[in-house]
Amino acid sequence: MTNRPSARIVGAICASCLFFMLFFAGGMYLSKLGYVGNSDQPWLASLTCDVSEVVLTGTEITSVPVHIENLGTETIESTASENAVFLSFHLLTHEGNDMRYDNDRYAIPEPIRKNQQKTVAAVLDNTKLGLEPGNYIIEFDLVKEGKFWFSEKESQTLKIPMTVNGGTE
Amino acid sequence: MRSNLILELAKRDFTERYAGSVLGVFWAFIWPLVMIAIYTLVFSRVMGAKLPGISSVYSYSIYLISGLLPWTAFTNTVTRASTVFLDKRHLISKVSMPLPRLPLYVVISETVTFVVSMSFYLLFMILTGVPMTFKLLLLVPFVYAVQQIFAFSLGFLCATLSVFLRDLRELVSIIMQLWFWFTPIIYMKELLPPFAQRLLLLNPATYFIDAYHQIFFFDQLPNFQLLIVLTVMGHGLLLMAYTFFKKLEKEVRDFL
Repeated sequence: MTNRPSARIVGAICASCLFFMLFFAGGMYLSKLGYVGNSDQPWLASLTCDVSEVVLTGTEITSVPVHIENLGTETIESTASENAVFLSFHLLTHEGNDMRYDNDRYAIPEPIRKNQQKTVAAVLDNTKLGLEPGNYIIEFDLVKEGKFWFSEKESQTLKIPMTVNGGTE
Repeated sequence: MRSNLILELAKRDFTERYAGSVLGVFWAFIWPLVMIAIYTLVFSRVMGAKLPGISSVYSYSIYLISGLLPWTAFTNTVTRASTVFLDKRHLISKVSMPLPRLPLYVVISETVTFVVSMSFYLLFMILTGVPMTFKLLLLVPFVYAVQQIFAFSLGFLCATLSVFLRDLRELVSIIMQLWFWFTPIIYMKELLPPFAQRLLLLNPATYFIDAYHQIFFFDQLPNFQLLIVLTVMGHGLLLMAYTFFKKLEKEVRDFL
């Protein structure tokens, strides 16, 4: 019995290593080229709005039109799809601290393909939000339901100052 | 050897686990079902656990199970392979066999369990309507292979050492327990402070667990760079374990 490693086994280990390295490197290369899976930034959107401040008064319902431009490579699917994406928002205090992360969803009526833009109206009702009078920040974000928020994928959110006047009564 | 002997050992290992029980091998199917049901009931229904930014009731179960199943295969392979020479010494003393291949039967046996568990997990995902890209599932065998090469290498190295250091058996179990908590399986690494996230990059188990999370939970391609690093680490360790074993092979056989 020799205590020298068998050249056949060492060769097999090296070959196996090379195979897996090439496989994963190939996957990385093809994904960068966009041939497989998602490219670098599949979920990227630009959210803009024509209003610079949202004001909620008493029981009045306010609609905020949010323009969504798809800057990623994947289609932002509408509510009809099982991979639906919704417009939603996070509530922040006026200092910018997290207050309520998960809020209402607003359906995107049609799929937004790459470089397309659509507008979705976010309806805000303080009888549902239950906010005390004061100043807040509303941060619009897109959510792929059951998967992730677009902001987690380095997509920019839209922050707008929000003032609540009067009570919720 | 006798690949037949390895296959026979794997088959026996699988059937002996349930020998004498009424349901026999069916227990292998029942266990993953029970595990999926428990985690879904406890975390999703009873505790209502959700992941930040994700409102699906099943999100935590899906995240947890996608990491737990490969981790179970990994930890069982390392733990059981680390005592394989001691456990099979009666066989080693009677049959001439190349010892480095012996831990393979553990890998095969754990792979069968993993495949069964994963099948149920996929069924669960389909039934709960979780969107997934089937193309991405093709990557799972490759991630699993690299993970198990790493597990095999570690187990093989420990198996050689445990012939001389019998305490290693217990030590390996403790280390695997600690390792579990240092791997983002029941928590999301994004919830950790930045310095802890950087520390996790020193943990090779994070590489393959993250790949499963990306595939099953985030429905995305895994980080290929991390998988390449894991490939190099696994094969490097295998080479080291094999060389180390060859240096001590005579002593190992004498001790056994």
